[in-house]
Amino acid sequence: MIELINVSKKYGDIFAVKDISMTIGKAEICVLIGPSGCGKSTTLKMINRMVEPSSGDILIDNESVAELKPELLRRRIGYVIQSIGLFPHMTVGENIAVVPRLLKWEKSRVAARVDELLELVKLDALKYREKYPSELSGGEAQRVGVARALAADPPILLMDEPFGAVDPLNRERLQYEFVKIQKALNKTVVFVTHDIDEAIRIADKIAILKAGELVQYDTPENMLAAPVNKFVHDFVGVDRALKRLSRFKVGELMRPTTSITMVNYSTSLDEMRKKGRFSWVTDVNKRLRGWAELTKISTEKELNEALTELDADLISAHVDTSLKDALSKMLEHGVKTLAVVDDDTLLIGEIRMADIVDFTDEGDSS
Amino acid sequence: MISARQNLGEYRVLKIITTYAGLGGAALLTIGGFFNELSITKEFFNNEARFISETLQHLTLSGIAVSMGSVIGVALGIIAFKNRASEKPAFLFVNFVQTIPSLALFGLLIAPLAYFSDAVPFLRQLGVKGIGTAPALIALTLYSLLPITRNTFTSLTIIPRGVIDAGLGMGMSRRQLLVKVQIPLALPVVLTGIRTSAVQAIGNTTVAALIGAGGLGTFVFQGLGQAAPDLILLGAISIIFIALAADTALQALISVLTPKGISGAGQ
Repeated sequence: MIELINVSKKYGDIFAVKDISMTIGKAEICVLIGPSGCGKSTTLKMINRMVEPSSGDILIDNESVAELKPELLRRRIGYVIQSIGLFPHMTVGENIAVVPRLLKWEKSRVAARVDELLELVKLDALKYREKYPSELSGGEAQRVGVARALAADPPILLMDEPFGAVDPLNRERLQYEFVKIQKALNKTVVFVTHDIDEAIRIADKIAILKAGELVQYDTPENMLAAPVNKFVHDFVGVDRALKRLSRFKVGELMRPTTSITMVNYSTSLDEMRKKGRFSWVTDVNKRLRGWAELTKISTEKELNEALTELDADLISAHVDTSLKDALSKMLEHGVKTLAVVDDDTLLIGEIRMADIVDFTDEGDSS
Repeated sequence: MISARQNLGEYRVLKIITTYAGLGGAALLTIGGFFNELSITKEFFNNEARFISETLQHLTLSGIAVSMGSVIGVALGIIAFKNRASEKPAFLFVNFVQTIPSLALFGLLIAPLAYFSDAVPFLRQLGVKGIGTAPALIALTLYSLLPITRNTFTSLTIIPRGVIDAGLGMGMSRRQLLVKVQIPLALPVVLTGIRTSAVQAIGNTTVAALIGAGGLGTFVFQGLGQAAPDLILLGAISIIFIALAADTALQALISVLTPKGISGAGQ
């Protein structure tokens, strides 16, 4: 847990950071965001004392960072910066081993840790260990940067626009992988960005700063639903309703549904017809096969004609898909309902466009 | 990338071969006695003992000058980097020194050194006089400053800020950062400056003979005085050979000390 208590940083007469108090919970990703010069990087750098606060205190697990020797403090905190700062004269393996070596780990332990971390960031240890940074692509270098920061298994990671220099496509993949790693390792992360989409994608909590002051500190869901003022409102963007949908999963609005099993459909055909015009059709294993227009079926034989067999991917959404992605799939395929499937593509429910629309209204009014 | 590096390697080998093919051939012919009847060879045998002592003197003068120049130059470079206010005056000074003709600088040092030698007995005991080794070493050291100071300064400025920040941010102390990051990255560039200075100093030492400091220049000026081209050649060829040897040796040292990941940076 990291606590900032009335932290300020003054350069001359100007406040870079003004009286910020906030608490960052254990294993949370806290994103600091705001326009250039808002003090987000300065705030981050005060946590590992790359910048010394002018006043106020910062506590890590109730211990003031001011009381620790900066070098020792920093070895317990992973640090990733936009320019990555890999040492060009060291191999990838040596770069990752820097902090373990500073901590005087045994050689065999360091070597094992290097390989383990390369696998964690999805780089082949054999292939990459001996490479030099000049031989890496931007995305690969960034992965090595993250691996290096994680090397000594620090409980806290500070990341200063770590994916800023990576192209958009790779950036999204890195963000996704990073969140997975963070959830698996339970790291407390303070992450600086100026990209609101990045913040919404990865944050547990977002802190919006303006001219050195903390404007709003909240979950992305709440911030999108209820920005505290016009600044936050404008900063999160006009499409905040849509952005908010990206924070919720299909499972949260899923309804139970009925289906016809292709072999054993006859039992309740009449009953089903009363419920609606359509029904999902599955095979005996409950695996989605398509849908059928029930009103067209008068006899059991006609089911094959009424059945529209389709690639399950087109008409279904995984239960963990975001509402935003589900909605765009509906619009793309011109349907108002999608089947919801689990990891094994078994049918477990359905999601309706009307429910999603109602949900955005709810968010807006709250 | 890899093929480019191989090409560079082949190019370097080719360069060494072309540079030394003539000298090597000449050396072989010399050992074989082929030149024994040439007048330059005769001059050598006539002056053999003096040739060896002047060569050693030449090496000593330029060696000490470049060593002192390295210490002062590296220090000046670091000071200019750390304290931006001192950057301009430092470079103004080393650039100014470089523009003084060598002969003039040697001459200019005679008067003040003679004065100090008279005024301070301790200096006189050390052998400091208006002419001889002392003014030669001072002038040669001053000349060697520019390349070393400039390269030291440059080597520090080209280390990316992010690399320094990352090092400090991961918990390196200033000393660890210096030893593990800054020195390995800066060294090839600093050594390249020293290499330039060394070649230059070996050439400049020739002039030191004029103020009585000895060295291979003795033969050159003696030859000039006596209108004896063979004597001039004996001195000049030896100086060229020493300069080339120093250049090659330092280049080899730079290649060895250039970290693999930044190959090419020191060239």
